[in-house]
Amino acid sequence: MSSHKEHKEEMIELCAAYALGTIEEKDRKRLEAHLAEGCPECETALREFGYGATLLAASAPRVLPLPGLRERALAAVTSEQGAAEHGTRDRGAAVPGGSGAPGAAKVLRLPRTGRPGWFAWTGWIVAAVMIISSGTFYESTGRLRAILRAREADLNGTARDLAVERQWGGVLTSPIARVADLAPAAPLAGETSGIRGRAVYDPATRRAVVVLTNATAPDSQSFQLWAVRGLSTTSMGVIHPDEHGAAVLRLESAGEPTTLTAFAVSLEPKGGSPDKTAPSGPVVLMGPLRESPRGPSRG
Amino acid sequence: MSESDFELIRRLQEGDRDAVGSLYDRYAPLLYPLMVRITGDRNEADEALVEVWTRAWRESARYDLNRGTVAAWLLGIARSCALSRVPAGAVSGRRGAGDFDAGAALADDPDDSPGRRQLAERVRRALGALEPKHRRVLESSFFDGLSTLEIAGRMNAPAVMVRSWTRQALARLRALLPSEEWT
Repeated sequence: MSSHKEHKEEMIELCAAYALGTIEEKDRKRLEAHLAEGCPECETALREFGYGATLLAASAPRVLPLPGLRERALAAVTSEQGAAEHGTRDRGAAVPGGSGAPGAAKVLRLPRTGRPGWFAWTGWIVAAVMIISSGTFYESTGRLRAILRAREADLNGTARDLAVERQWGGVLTSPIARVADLAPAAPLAGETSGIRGRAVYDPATRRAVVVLTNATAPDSQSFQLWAVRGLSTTSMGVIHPDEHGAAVLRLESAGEPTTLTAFAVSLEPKGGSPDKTAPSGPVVLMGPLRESPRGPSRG
Repeated sequence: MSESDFELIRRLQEGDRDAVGSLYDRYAPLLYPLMVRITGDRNEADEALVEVWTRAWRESARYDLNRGTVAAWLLGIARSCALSRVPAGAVSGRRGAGDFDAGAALADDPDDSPGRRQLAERVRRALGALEPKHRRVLESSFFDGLSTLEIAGRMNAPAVMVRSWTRQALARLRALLPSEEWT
């Protein structure tokens, strides 16, 4: 067995120990470093072993908590909420399903509501560097001025990129956005079983952002995204994930708010369904659009 | 339509306390029996269950969709809270390691939903079908909180074998129950 394969096998065994909580501390650090580099196989293994752990828990003798415990738990959270600023949460030990680096991981790495995303911060940092740098370059030689012009051009490019990102960020932060969690339409098996996704649709602009994870299809097949409009489906394109199986699709015109009801993902022959109006393969994910919990009705 | 785990954990991350209540309703019936099983004491399990939700609240930013389900993440917290209430060295003395039947001394609560009681039965049957060494590593790790090295010492086997058995045991359990999920 090659050392690469041995390494992968060892990491998958560590995933099992991690899911059960039996992993040694030094192994946990090794596994988390490995996961941080991105490993779809281990992420799939973690999920599968996590299901196994859930089944184990479900085998315990069925004893129900007394009703008053719910109120106690919520009161304890309220007390915690009052005692600490929300932004300072996150101090405990790592557990399966969590990231070892505090604050490093979120459900999905999408911009958070009301907070600048990494791209915005990058833009501001670049801008700050340029402001400071330009004061120095102003009195410098022609060579340095050329560098400054090049940097300014970069900054302009960054500003344009930032404007584009903000437009798409507006989809994610729109107060009237509708959200669809793309979940398996039926129990999945095999190498495609890990695919999951989420779609956010802004009725004001008709734009949508769809994020998929573990979307790596078998060699001879492709995943394809569909907009469900009333009783018909419209192809939104074949999904081309990165090497980690992640894909972000930006849809300029996902459909009218009165007719767009859901998104779906099907598993198709390589290149997509021959029929652009309907899936030819099995629908693996489906998610009805619903009002976002961030909407005005939630205050 | 009930909210997905995905949405609830996102709300939790955004500081929405109501999400705790929704997650409690969904998962306390899964976590609490495990905690009673681990601690062997309902009062201790009560305290541990309360702690689970304050920890979930504090640590929600750590949850990563790519590393497991919300259920698995909460189970990790629940095991940690329960095991911290078991005095060191008390685990192996409380019941025989590897003995799943010992945990069944508590009867299933008839007020629990039939679906969950039936799921528990199906999982117990599947566990009974595993090889004894596989059952034992699952029991010793998940319920008794022993590390790989501790299990290796008790089973007089190399740690590398214990790791391999753990993986095989979980894979076998999943294969025996391919479509079972907590709902």
